[in-house]
Amino acid sequence: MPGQYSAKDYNSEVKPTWCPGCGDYGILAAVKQALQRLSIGPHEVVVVSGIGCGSKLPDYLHAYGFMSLHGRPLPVAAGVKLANPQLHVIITDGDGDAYGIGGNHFIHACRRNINITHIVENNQIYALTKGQYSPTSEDGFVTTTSPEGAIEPHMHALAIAFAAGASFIARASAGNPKHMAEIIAEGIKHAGYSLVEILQPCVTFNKVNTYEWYAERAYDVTTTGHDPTDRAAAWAKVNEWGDRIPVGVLYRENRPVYESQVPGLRQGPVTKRAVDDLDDAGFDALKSEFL
Amino acid sequence: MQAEEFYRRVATRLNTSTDRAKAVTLTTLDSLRHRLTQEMAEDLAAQLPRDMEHALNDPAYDDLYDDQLFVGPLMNMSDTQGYWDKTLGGMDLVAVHNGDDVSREVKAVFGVIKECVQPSTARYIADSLPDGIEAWFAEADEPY
Repeated sequence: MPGQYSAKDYNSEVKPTWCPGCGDYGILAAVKQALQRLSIGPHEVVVVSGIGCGSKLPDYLHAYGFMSLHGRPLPVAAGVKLANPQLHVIITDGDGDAYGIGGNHFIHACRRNINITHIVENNQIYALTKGQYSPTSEDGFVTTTSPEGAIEPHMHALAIAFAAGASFIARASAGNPKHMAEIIAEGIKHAGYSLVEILQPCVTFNKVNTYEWYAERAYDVTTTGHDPTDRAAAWAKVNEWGDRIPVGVLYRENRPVYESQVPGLRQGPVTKRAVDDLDDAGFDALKSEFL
Repeated sequence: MQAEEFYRRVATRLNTSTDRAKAVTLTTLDSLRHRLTQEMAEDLAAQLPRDMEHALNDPAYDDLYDDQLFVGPLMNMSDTQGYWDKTLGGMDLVAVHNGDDVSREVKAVFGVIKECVQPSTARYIADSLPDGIEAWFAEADEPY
């Protein structure tokens, strides 16, 4: 039922400590609006994060939250979803957390297709630790750890997601919150792993990829007639980066979600099964596994 | 009034160069563009120097464009053009403390806008601003 919740229903009592003007504020507002639009109540959503500026988000949203280890939110989110598939599970982390330290989990989350929504706040730098180059930093990017410029090539994470089997790949820009909320809502609605990468300016440590830089390059793929179900067209979009950066839903396919195929979940969510359902024999069998 | 005069007045309020004032002005107007309807933007543009009209082209009202997004581009731009400390490989030790500088810059632009527009225009600009920025518009009349 549209309008069941207001944006204020998702406000937490914790005041954000992000830098003034940080793109994370827009992402937080967009997440709230997406949840409101989909009439998902605070009690129906879990936000799991890693470590980093963007990973502070669960603190600032009135919902269930779990701040995990650096690079590890995806396995935690998978566990939450498998324990209770009725919850909407959203992951918020940065490019360093998702693509760098959590890179291995990222690839397998794409492949498994668990029904979770992964919002990667890509500011192209490690910001919370005060500005080291990240997997998505541009070639030659000058930071504290690359004073003469980054020598590693920029990581095309969306192309990796596509190759690894992600069933939903999208991108939005933090400077365009209304559009961002629409794309996040699309990701949440998608049945399967949905990757929503946000172009997020870091106003403090990234002096190159600014709001203006992204605004000059980002274009909505719907204006070009892009068909996200066309694999060849999607492959071209996920590889496009530079003078023009596509935003919107770049790829979408329907395939069975992981949790629908797990034998142990055929009797329903684990969280809905009472422990008392175990009879004496079952309880003894369970105990024997730990003795 | 010509745009150069507008920038000069902003520069006077900020005690800075006209180049810097121009950058601050155009960035602030770009943020303002996200809080104005087409009708409002056209009305405001008609009261500003003609050679500044382009800054209000393509208004894109977005109620999610809040106070932080409003100052974000200015924070980005300020750091890049004004305070970037290259001595530590580009790390900026000033930026995290310059929220007050951005507030002062936005107020300076608002102050000159108020000198240029009708009271009715000033009222709807104030009403359209995000919470937190609206107060800066009211305070823009204060001595600098």
